[in-house]
Amino acid sequence: MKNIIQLRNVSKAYKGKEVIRNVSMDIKEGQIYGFLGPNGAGKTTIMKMILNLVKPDTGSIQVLGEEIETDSYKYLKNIGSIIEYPIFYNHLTAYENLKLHCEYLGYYDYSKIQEMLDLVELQGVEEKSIDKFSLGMKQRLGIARAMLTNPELLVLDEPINGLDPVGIKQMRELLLKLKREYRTTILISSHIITEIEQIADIVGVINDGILINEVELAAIHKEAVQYINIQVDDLKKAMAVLDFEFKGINIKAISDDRIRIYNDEITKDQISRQLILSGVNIYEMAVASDSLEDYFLNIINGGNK
Amino acid sequence: MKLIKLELTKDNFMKYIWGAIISTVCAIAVVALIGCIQDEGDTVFTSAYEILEMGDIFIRAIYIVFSGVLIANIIVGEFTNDTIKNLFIYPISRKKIMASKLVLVFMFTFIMYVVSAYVFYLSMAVLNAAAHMVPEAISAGMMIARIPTVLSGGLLTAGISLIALFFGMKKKSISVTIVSSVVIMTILSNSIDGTMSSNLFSVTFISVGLCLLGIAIGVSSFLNINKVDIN
Repeated sequence: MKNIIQLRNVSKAYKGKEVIRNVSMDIKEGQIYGFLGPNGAGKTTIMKMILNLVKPDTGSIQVLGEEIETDSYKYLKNIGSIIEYPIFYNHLTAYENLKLHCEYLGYYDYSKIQEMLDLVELQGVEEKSIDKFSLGMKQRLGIARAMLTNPELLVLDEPINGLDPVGIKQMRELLLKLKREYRTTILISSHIITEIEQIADIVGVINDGILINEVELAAIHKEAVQYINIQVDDLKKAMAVLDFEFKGINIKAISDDRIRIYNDEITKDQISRQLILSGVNIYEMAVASDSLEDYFLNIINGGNK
Repeated sequence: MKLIKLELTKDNFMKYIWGAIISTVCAIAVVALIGCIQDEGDTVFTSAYEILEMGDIFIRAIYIVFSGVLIANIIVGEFTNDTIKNLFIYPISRKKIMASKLVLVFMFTFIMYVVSAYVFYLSMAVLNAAAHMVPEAISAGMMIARIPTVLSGGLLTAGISLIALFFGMKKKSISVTIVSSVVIMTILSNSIDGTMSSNLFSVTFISVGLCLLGIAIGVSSFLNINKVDIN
């Protein structure tokens, strides 16, 4: 699969403060890439760089096979986007705004406008001016506009902000449908984890301008979700025993007498047997599961240290 | 060209045209009233030339501010309310977008200036015939003779008013743009030595110089646009 977006060692500073630090990432064709990170982590800045609204200080960016220079603009034809929040000409109606969008893109299939408005369930407000739209409605209209010309790549910055639960669900289904039927590549950002985990193939975690981790969701589900907590009398010994008996095991001391084991192949029985044989007393042992949320919070906090 | 057409659909240009009509009518009314003042048989204007000259001063003042409002709404406004982000993610060169806006402002100001000036002249010819502000008639010949003055006045006004763009973009503010155009207008229109026709604008090298400065500001605004980060 070819790379639709490729960043190499991209950095950006505003007034001496680095907001993006040496970020490299690849987004492949047909993927939904979830961008996860707290507010102000740099998600929007990276998206703006992909759209050439913001120019990187160093590093290179390729989008749809084209190297982005300061004066590149032709590649934008194949990208639909919402950045930060959807912006429209407030005194124009919804329909006029979308029509204007078509004209700027040199796209003259106006029947598509109504089709998209129906798709995002904005029937009956075509002739309403944007002044009177709620945030949720603007967000829907923004999505309609981004998808209007069937772009190969969608860049959606916090697209579910302001949507109600029904809207969020529709949004999710819509994106999955686009990926399935049109092989649209989607870069979507959010600070809400549960929302990303339901649609993304890959999640990139960003904090403080650093891309901390890129993980395939399938892998996290397997690795992170389950672990075993053990309370023992001799922590050091227990660690040494486990390390010796189960090579390459992922263990972590979480307090003076507690160990956490991330593994779903070794059973509780195997562990307790080994520990007891080595003379380590076990006070407590339980299988627990981390939510994905904890997993990401761990990654983010780890990046802070 | 197509971009200019799209710019026209984005904003309601009738409101600018109405504004221009109203201010031209005001200028006509004010000059006519001044012309009708009589003090022991002396009129304010001594010649038809003075009336027309007075009209030029008014029209110029009107259109420097008019153009300031256009710049504020069409150019600076796109930056203040973020719609420029929409424009700059279209597969259209930023330079072309900026250039089309500048051309639109320049042409619109110029054309409206010329139209207004002649509407003013014609109205004055009619009013003068009725009210006898000056003994001589304002003839068609006089108006034709002023064609070069009006055309150059229009060009200079359209050029000079681009200076407001500099302040407006610096501060990214609609009100700064309009205020700076009012300031430019005031400075240029004030009489230097108390006579009507001697203001800064009438000093050729100042008006031509400022016009070139305005155009330079306009040109530089789109030369650098590719390097600008849109946040």
